[in-house]
Amino acid sequence: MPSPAVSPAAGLHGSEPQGLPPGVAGDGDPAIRAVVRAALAAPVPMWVGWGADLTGFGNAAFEALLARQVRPGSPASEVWRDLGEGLLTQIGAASAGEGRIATVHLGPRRGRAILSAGPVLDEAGRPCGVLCTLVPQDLGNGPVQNATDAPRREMLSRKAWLADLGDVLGALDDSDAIAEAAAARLGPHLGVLRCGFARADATGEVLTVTRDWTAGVASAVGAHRLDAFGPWIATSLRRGEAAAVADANGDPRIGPRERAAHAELGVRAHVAAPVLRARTLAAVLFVHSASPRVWSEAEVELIRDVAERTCAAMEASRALRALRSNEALTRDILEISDDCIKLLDLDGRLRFMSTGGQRVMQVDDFSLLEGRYWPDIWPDDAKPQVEAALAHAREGRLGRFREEARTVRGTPRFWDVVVSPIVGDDGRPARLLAISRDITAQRQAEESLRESEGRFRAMADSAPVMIWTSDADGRCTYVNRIWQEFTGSHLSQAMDRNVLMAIHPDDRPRTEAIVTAARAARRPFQTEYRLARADGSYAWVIDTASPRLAPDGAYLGDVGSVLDISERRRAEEKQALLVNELNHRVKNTLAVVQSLAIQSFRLGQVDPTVRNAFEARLLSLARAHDVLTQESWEGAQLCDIARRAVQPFAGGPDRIALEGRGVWLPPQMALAVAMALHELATNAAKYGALSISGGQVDLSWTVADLPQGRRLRLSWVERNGPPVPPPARRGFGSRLIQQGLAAELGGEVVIDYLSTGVMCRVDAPLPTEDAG
Amino acid sequence: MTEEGPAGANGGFAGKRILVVEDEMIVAMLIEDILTDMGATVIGPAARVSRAIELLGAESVDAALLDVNLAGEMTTPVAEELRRRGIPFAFATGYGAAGVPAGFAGQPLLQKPFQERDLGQVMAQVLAA
Repeated sequence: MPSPAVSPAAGLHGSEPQGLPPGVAGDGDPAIRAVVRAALAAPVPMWVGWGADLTGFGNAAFEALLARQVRPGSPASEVWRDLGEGLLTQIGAASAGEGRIATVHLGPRRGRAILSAGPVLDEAGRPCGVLCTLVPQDLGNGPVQNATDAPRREMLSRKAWLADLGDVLGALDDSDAIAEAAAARLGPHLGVLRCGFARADATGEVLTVTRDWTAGVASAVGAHRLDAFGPWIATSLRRGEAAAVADANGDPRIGPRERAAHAELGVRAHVAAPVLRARTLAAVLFVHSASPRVWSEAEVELIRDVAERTCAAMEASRALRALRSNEALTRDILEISDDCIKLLDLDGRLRFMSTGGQRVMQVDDFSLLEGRYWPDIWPDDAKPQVEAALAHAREGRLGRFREEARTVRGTPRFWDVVVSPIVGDDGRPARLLAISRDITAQRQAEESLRESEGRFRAMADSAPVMIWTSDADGRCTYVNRIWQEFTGSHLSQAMDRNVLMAIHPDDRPRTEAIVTAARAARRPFQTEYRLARADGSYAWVIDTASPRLAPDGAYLGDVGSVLDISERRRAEEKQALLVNELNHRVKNTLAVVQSLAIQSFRLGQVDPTVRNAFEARLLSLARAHDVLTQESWEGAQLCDIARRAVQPFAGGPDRIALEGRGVWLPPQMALAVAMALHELATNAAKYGALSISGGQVDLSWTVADLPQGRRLRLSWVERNGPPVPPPARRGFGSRLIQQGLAAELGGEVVIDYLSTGVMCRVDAPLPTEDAG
Repeated sequence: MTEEGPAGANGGFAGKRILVVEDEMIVAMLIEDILTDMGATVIGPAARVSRAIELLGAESVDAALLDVNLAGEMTTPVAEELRRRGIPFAFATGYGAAGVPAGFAGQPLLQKPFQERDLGQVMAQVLAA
């Protein structure tokens, strides 16, 4: 028999009956043609074979069942080879006239089918071919009863396959494993080259394949930019549309660059199915085919479906993992927390107690407590409170109380308890949650603080000075009895107000600045201000305050004591007035004496040098008084006195060098030293070192701390001057120095007339330091 | 009566009318003598604030020398009146610069007690202003 498979022109043959696939018409018997025509339209998987080597044709249902294309004109040996042992013999027998039934193995996932093979008889009743009909056994919801069920069967088989896939993916809890399992099932199912699941990053622009399945070719694992697939694919995927390409080489939507990329991966045809989440590309499932392939709608739909399921499985596994870690966290919290966390039923019976709670309650065996009525474990006098809190919680509200109760081992503890409802599915409280916090230490601290505050107040109220305390924000927390009497405001009026409330408005800004700065630095402060008396007048007070610190060092506020110093202040003001008057009088008196002298001298035609010497002495005395005036007649610094005394004679810089530490002289001593220095300088200017250029004076002093007291040692040394002979007659100046000064100071004064110049040494006791 | 002293400072006082406000009689006399010697005409001396204000209203005055404190009465009103009239003046005080009334810091100052030449210098400075 001629081979029907080989006539390429057969499909174009004019005599060929319409509607038959190419390569089928050929030289076959009319009976064969009729059977083929019938099979072509049948929804049941059928294969018809004829001729010596049983070349044949399988219908679409047959191809779908085998999940592969069956080229018309393929010999039986090629079609049936892998489907079961001895099948070819059975089919051969059928074609010879003996009908046969056999089992066909469609593959591990497709199960089996029943093959019914019978001869096709020609008009003469002789066998001229074979008709094979397959009935799948393991797919769908049972054996398919008749041929009209085929589409439903196909749908059922897809459903079953997907359900099976769902089971497999659902059992995995790792995203990579899920991706791998999905690819490994879908790839062989579609008979493709490569299949993989790519996850997108947060932008949806970078796709990462961690695992894929291939039919032995290179993997596509790695990161891929969505744009690299070309604008058409990228846009489709972003929109959530699957991109199916039957042949990359002929598809105008695939650009030259992308075509090269396809070639590199060995891909001619492919489908990419996107999964969107929140309108952003979340993942893509792709299948690659090495040869051109037309993708049916059903296939594309399946790929989309698998993509969605794979993504859903990953999300479910993530949620499950998060849930597990939440559970672990909850367990840890219950374990670690020192709060006693209990679950009660609505009757108030104990059903659960946290591990940490058992620890603080000193429970060794919770089973002994389980089921007990919770209020019963509280002392009798606390019970009403506990039951009231339970009643609140049962009504859907929060119950709260603080009570003392002993732990199981009898340790007394103070508890802060919150009872709250746990709402069930019906929206009503189903169980109660009771959390007890041990506040014994806090309570003790509060109590001891209250006690010490009480002691402090008792003491402060009997103190003779005004006392106030403030909190950390500067608000008054207490004023003692004397303060209340003085200001005429009651404690209740003072509480919570600014501690500066009763201060004279003029003194407030300054005082507030001091108090605020001290509070910020947690430092003591002392300041004076006018405080309002009860009668509205103001009294000068001195306020001395320091921070109050808790045992743990926390800043609580300040405590201040206020002393009425208006008497002292008045005395000071009076003294200041007197000193001013004294200054005025002294200076005016000196001016009057000077005026008298000058006018006497003017009338008496006295030698001008006498008048000048007198005036200079008077002015020197006045200058010394200036220093004392500035210091309110309390004394003067020796360096100030010395500088003023020699200033009129200094002439130029460095002619009189002063050197010595700060020494405080009482007024009497200051005046005596000033006058003596004036005489020495006058003398030097007339006869000594200051009478010629180049002459110099060193004026220096030290203080010696001796066992019998402090002594001032002052020296006046003239250098580079002319030799000064001792005066023949002791004048006023030398008498003032040697007798007057020595007597005034109660010390020794020595003047030597050396060839190098005059030298004067003073050695005198100083009053004790604090007497100054 | 001519006396020795910095003659250069004394030259320009001829014909100048200087108001002297000073409550210490002896001091006032001395000031009067010195200024007269220098060729000036002394208005006053006034020992009270009211008298000084009176004189300012009645006499023409080129310059003034004011004691800050007249037996407890501050001469600030006189200083203000002088300033209002645009008449230059100096303070005389035993207190130093710290004793000058507020608002008049920088005014020429004669420190008491003073020497003749100090008075001449301060008044020359005032009249030059």
